[in-house]
Amino acid sequence: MTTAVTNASKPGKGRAWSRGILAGPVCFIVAALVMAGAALWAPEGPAHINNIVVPIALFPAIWAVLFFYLMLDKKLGRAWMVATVLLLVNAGLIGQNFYKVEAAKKSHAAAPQAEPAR
Amino acid sequence: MIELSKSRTKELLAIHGWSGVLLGLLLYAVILTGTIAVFAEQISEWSSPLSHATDKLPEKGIDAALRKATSEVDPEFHEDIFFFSDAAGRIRMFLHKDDKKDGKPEARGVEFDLDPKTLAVLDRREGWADDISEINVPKALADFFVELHVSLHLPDPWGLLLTGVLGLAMLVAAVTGFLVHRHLIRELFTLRRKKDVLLTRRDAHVVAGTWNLPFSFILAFTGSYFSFASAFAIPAMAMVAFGGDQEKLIETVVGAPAVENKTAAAFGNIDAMLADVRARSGSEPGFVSISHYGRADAQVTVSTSPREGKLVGQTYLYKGDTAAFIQQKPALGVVPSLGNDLFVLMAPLHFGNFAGLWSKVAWFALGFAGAYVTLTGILLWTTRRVDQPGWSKLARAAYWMGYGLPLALAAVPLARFIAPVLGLNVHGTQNWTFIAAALLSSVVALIVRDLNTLRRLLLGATGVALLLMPLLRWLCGGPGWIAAFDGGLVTVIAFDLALLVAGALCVMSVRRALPMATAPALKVQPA
Repeated sequence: MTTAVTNASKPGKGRAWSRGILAGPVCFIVAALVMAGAALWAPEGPAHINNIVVPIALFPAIWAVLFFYLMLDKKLGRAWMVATVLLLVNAGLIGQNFYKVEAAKKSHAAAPQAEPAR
Repeated sequence: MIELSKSRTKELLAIHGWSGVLLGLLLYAVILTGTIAVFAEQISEWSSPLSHATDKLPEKGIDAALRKATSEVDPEFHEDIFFFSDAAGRIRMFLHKDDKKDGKPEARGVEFDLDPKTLAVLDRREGWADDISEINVPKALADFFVELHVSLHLPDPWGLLLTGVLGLAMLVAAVTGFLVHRHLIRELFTLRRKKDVLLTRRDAHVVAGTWNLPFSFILAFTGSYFSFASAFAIPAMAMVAFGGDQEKLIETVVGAPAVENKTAAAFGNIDAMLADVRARSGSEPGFVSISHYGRADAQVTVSTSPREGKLVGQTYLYKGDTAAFIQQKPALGVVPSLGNDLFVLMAPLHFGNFAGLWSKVAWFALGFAGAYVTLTGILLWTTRRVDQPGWSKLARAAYWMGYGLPLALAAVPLARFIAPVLGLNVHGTQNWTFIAAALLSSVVALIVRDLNTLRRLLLGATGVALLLMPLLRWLCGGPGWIAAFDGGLVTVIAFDLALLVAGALCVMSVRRALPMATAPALKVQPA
């Protein structure tokens, strides 16, 4: 009987831990990446600042929406999937932007050296 | 009324409880200190008054004072200058350059406190911005409460991150508190006075919490925004969009930078620029910032206090060398935008400074109610689980924090007044006094077994400290009530009276037994 209860509670405990990690640290990291990534995909607006200022101002809202979704979605696997997709898309965008900036820096640094050869 | 299934309500109730219980004690500390920090300006005015009260920049004389200050400092500090009416009306003028301290952006320069009437230099401080603030005595007391609220006196960015997380926990508690109310309107007015102590306390918690819900939401949202923005959001955005250059980000977001021209040029008359701002805006100049003083590309930005009936002020740009008006602009960017609207709304909503003293009083009262809701929430949670040893310890910790923190906070102004008399560093003495009082209340909390006795001891000591404040302020060289009345220092008298009333209330309430503390289950718990 005791063994059965222990075995039965194991998946429940595992799910609770998984949910806790998802709605805790994972949620915070994904919200931070969505905020930072928004600098690249959000519209700039007429003053060319909305893509920077709005995500910073709305960070608590981004986190809260994500937290409640990740906490309350009955299907834990789906919640993990949504968080992972958001994380990968925004991290990918940020990574791609870094790559572009670094490449531009390198070509900028190489330009004066190339001039004497011309 | 929001229709939720039983299981969903149960989940939300669990989230509501755990969000409060896990971080509730620290959240209580942040809310309580925030409630005090609402009156930061008035605290400076009360603790370090000048003989004449004002919160406005003078109409004449700033131009001469600015020229004198610039002639007395290294020209490298002409790069950026700002001034505004600060502690008790002192004009705080900081001439500085943007530098790097331990690899992080930090301002370095010379700061003056000027008398708003005579424009005489009252104090001169030099060095890094954060070191300068450590020796700013007139602001010391207000700064202590503000810093405790903003970062719990922990080093950056950890303190900010922690208070940001606490803000998010409060946000969750507010949202779930709203969702689990099955009868929102009825619960606004339900206070059952029956023999069931827990039921009465639960009703008081729900009534206070329900009335406070919109305010809690606003404070939690804006508070976590302020914490996270400087802790990581601005550096992260700078990293993504500007290759890590935070100055470039700020320059872009603020907008309208002058075209660089390093040619030396005489500076225009700042008094004339401020007079022009008064005429255009119909309100008083608040914060004045000058870039590249003494150069042809010098630019002056003046932000005004909000006009009567308005939530936010205006921003005006002037050419520094000719004092010519350039344009009126939003605080961020050069044309109106959603980003600017959100940005300018955050401060008045968080600080409650949009309608003078009355909005501050309202924010203080609502903040106080928030602290009450947080503390009673933890006590309700622990009382229901008091047969479990872990929870009874949390109940004791809640009493320690609930009544020990006000005592430790009340000890700080006493240190503020005594330290200069004894020739001690004011900031250091305040900090150590707070720590000593907190440790003392911890020892008392460990020794005293009965929670109601513990409450009475801590509350009584807080009352005595509050009653001592006006007397000590006067004995340590502050103005008496007659001198304060003659000088129009209304804040000094009003604060003294408020402290005397609060102290008397604390002492009187010592005689009253708190029902929750006398609940049989809690009474017998060992330390």
